Amino acid sequence: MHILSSLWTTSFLLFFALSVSSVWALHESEAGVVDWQKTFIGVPRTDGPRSAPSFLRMKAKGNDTTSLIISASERTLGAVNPVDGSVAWRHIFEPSHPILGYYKSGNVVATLSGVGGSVLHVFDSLEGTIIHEKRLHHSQNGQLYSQRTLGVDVTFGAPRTAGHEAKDLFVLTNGQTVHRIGGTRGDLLWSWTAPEQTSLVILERLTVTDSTIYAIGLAKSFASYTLHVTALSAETGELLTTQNIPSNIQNGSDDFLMLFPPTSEDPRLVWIEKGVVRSVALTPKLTSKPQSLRGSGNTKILDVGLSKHGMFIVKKEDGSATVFKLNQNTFESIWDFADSATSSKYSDSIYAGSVDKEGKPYIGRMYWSFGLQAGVLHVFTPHLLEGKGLVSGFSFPFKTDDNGIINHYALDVVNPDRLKVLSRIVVTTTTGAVQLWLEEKVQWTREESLSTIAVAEFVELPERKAIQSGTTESEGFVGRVLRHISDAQGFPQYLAGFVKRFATASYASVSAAISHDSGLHRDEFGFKKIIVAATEHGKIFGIDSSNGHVVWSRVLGLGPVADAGGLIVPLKMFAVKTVSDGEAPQVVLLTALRGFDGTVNTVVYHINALTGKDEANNSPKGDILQGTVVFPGQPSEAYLLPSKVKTIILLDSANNIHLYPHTEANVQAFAELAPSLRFSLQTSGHTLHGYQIVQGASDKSAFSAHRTWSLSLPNNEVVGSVIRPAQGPIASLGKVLGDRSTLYKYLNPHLFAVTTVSKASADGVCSVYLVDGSKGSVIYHASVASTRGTCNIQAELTENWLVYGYYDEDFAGDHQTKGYRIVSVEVYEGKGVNDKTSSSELSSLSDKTLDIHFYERSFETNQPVTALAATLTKFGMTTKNMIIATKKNQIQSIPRRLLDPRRPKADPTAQQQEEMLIKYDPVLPADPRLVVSHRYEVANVRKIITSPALLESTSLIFAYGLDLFGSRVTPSGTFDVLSESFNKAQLVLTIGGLTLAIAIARPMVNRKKLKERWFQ
Amino acid sequence: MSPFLFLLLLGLSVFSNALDLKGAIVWNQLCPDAKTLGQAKAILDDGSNYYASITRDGSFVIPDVPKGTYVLNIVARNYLFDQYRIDVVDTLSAPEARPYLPGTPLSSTANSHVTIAHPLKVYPRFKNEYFVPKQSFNVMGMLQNPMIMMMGAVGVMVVAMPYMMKNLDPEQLKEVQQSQARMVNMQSSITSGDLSGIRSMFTEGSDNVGSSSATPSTPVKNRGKKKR
Repeated sequence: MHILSSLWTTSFLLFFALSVSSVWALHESEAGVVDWQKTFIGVPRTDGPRSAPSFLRMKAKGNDTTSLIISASERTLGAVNPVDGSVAWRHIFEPSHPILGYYKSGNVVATLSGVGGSVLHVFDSLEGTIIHEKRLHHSQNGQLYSQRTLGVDVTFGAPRTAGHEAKDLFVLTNGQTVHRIGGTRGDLLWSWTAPEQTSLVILERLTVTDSTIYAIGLAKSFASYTLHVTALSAETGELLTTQNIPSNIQNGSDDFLMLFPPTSEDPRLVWIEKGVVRSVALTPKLTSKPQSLRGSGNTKILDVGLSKHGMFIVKKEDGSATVFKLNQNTFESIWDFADSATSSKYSDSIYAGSVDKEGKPYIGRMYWSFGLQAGVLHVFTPHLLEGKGLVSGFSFPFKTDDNGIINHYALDVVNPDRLKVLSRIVVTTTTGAVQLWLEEKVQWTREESLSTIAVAEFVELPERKAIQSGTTESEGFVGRVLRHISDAQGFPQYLAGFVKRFATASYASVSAAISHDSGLHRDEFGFKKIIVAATEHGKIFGIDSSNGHVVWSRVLGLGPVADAGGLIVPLKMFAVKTVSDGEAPQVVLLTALRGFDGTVNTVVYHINALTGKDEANNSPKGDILQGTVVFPGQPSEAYLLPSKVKTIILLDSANNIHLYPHTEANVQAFAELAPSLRFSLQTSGHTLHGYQIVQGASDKSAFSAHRTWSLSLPNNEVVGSVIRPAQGPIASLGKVLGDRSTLYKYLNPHLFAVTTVSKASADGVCSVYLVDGSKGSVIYHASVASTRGTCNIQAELTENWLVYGYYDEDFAGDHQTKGYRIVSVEVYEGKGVNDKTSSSELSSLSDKTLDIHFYERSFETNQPVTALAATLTKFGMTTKNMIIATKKNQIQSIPRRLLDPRRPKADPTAQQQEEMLIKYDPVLPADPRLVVSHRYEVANVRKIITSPALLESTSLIFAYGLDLFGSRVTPSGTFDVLSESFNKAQLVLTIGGLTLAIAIARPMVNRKKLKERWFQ
Repeated sequence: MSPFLFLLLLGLSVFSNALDLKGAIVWNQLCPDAKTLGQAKAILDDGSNYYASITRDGSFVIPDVPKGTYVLNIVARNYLFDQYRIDVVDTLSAPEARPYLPGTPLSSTANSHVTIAHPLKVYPRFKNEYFVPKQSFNVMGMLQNPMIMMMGAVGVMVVAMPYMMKNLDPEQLKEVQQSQARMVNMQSSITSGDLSGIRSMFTEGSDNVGSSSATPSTPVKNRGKKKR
């Protein structure tokens, strides 16, 4: 142990000593100033009560109670502070183990995740730490049901020993197995699996009393279901009875619920059958007879989470709702919600229950009023007015144009006064926003859809216009004097600023925050840009790249499928107008609009990047953003035409070409360019095709794509991703070596990289290819062994530099080890140095395009790469660093020097030292100072985009995934601004000292001179 | 009895090719508790199949690890842990764990005699330091700058030189004057670009006094006169 640690320490120290000179790192004072991070918990799933947001009240220190909003998305369990909307804690689950549901009980929250609920987690609800993690079955043994959340449940039992606080958990998994897990130690006490012959029964719900545990299931019979109850001994897991209850359930688990009447020992099972509500008391022997609630014509029973109070809601055929309560053994209708029948004046109501601090129940009803254009909430308080009940309500100005439609809400009520009921609700909307309303005021909004960004683009801001004073020709003398006086008003301020700037060292600095009062204008160094980001929830955002604030947001309209509903899948985003065009920058978002009616349309949204305004003028003012349907069907590929007239070329599935914007000028420009255009796309799984553009014979404005080449990859490989090189200026065509010879970069503009995934499940092979897109020839190919059938190759191509990362499991060889690899490849022209083929200007038809050689180095890292991108600067002169996102939820900037494929294996010679090459070391250092995201957690990054700033030294980066992160990096240091180590005080002191020295020395010298004259 | 035996055998056959790998993080000053550690997990290899979360008490259980050789790593954002080579030989005996240094061949660890008892105890080794301290201005630092020190030395010399000269022995003084004259001569020949002059100076060396004194520089001469 000791040897190891000392080894570690030495290697670490050695590394630090080596790298200290080459590392650029952040200062602590710059954290949060030059960068920002936004934490998300993911869009809450509202398809079931087990994942939608809910209030949880728990004991904090002492006797205080505190509440959090618990919410589960696909892969994140999060707790949000209801006061300010900040994330109190969260837990991110593995991609293979999505959350099925969460179950809360005071100070613990339990989750089931994975297929059939294979893993149980128990969290401390205050801190979010894991108390227990228990795997209940292997994922492979999980049962898949039509609905993923079917057949799993958790319920909390009584503590095993009195005085011990941790409650035992009863867990139902796979629809057939019941486990009892000790609350204190997390051990499995017993487990019971339904016998094979009853596998037609899917158990769905658990209900526990002191002695007995009831598992309620549904047995599939002809065209309907029958309720099935299994009673187990809570102590031993022994089967007591199992029985079908004569019933006829139509809609599965929506049609039954459990009640725990406060006055009775036995829980009661309530279900709806042919318009009649029926119920049966559950006893260990299951001997009770079912009884019916009088009245028929009911359509639905709703569980509002008040089963402990014996309350539930029954909906009639006309939509009107009645609150029922179980008293002893009789059901009592305690409240009819007035005007709750379906109407054209308001939307269908959503009901929710709540329990306050004292344990008193409340029931809320919310609907959208078309007349008021506002949401309305009614809260029914059963215990007020001597038990007669009271309804209080208010309307709240929910903005559907900004946030879509309310999907779900959770209610939290306090009753501070006898007749006063204060309520707050947390609503989840179709656009993925989570909002807290305190009565009619919105307290905070979390735009959780930002965790689902599909495409994003940096857009440069325009310069601030110099303020023009009115210099008109006819200005008289008095006018001019007055104008000068008014202009001079700013002079004292300017003077004060000048003096201050002179006296103190407050310069525009790279590490300074950007002032935000200037509006949407470019700052001095161009660090402030707009990131336009389109999410999977039909909303597009404009984000300030300097602080991550949302500048504008628009809800995307569904256009042709507005009635049927649909899903907007953002595919690509293009900046069609930039600041250099002299207009407000504009972006075009290309989407595939998938209607729920089965139609697919290609829709583009044309947006002003500064304001979010519709530039195509499709949408009425103040309404949601409507797009333009370009053609029906899915687009197979889209490009931005590389010309002055920024036109988007879209290809439909029949290889016809569509232009957007479709104007006469654009068609003309395109027709001129068309003969020289070549592009490639992937059609079937393992084939890549190259195309040429052909003008229609009869219709000159119709173009189509004509296949010129095909590249078939091996049958067991499927194209995973196609990486096109980052568009940026290339500063130099070659690299001058230490011996004054030059290596010429291979800069074929058609070059792109392809990564493949393995089709075969075992011992498959994945590959990385560099393909010349004009001819389909493979320039570089590397095969990577797959890890148990999967390989996750991440690659980035910039100029002539390809970097890819993967996991290598093979350690059979002598000097092999398992681990993550990062491979760096550089392609150069010709056979060696000074061999120039001018690849960047070479005709695609030239046979010299294959005249290349390359350098390659592989590095080992302990950082699994989830996304990588090269930095991009204004003129491309600055070294390019690789920005990588790791599974440690961090963003790193790996210096180019470390990844240089020409790093020598021997000690560098003088010439190599001149090139700043350092000796090859197979291990990439895990230096924390390379982590640009420092203390921030940037989880599940899917993509990193980079953009140049006005300063050549600086590149802006934006990483998105579950979290968002923005920062700026300077791969070669800030060489174009005053260095931060520049010390004004030192300069002033030195000059002062010199002045002083002169003042002292001058009389001495004068005296000496005089003496010399005197004595000569 | 026999069905029971059968069940037992069945159970054995199901679990015979895998075991649970147990371990715990030992809290220390670097990382005192699970809340400080944050969300963390223990992974084998790339963590795609075998992994476990670190629970509140630091423990973890990676279930059903089949026979094979693995690298155990603790993935935590702000902390660095030791890595281990884990060999699951058979399910009846505990897995073998050996310290493993990243970047070294995995095979080199196989013969290591340092084995670690199962359940593993894992220690946080480093807390990541993401920042470099900012260079702040200090007067001492500035004064320690070689340039500043040289300037100071020159200043002192300017003031002190005449007094030193005064106290020097006449013989020594002459020597100093000569060497100074040679220096000046060399400087002037460098500025005039006459390299042969320097070469001749080096070749002639110290023995040829006459040639060097043939071109004495005036300021030195003046100073010398003045002192007499």
